[in-house]
Amino acid sequence: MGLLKSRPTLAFGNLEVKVDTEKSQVDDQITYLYKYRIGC
Amino acid sequence: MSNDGGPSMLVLTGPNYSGKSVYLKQVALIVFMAHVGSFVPAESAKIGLTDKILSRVTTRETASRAQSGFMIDLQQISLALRLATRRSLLIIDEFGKGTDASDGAGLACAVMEHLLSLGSERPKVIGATHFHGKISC
Repeated sequence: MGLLKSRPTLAFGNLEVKVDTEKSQVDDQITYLYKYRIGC
Repeated sequence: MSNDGGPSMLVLTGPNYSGKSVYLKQVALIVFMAHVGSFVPAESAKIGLTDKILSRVTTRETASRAQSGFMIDLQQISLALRLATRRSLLIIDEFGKGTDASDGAGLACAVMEHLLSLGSERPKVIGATHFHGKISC
């Protein structure tokens, strides 16, 4: 649980990434989608 | 973001290189462009009158002044907190990075708590943090 408590004046957002743990190369495991998503 | 009951602060999380800083800078630029009468890159936009765009984005460390990166961070945020009004936009990128992780998360959280506690005088704030799990859920 985070230090900052949820309240109506505060919104959380994150930038989406896709993680593929099956890929053998570390560089291929994470794809940056540059998509903004509401929530944390 | 609005002052009429809706959120006035957005806390952005995401891994390094996911585009948090770009998102922050883009918002500041769009607000600025709208105020100078420019088109903005959106289908539609509703942008409130903004008296100041305050930022704590890059830490410009220099050997010519006896100040650490952490000190510069604190001075920037201190100035932003003093100048911010209900019509200001405050961009905070990775505040608390220059010190111990738990101290940094505590500091960033305290700044955000302070800004939220200003009630109707609170500025619009967008903060990016790498303290995912410590600050946010």
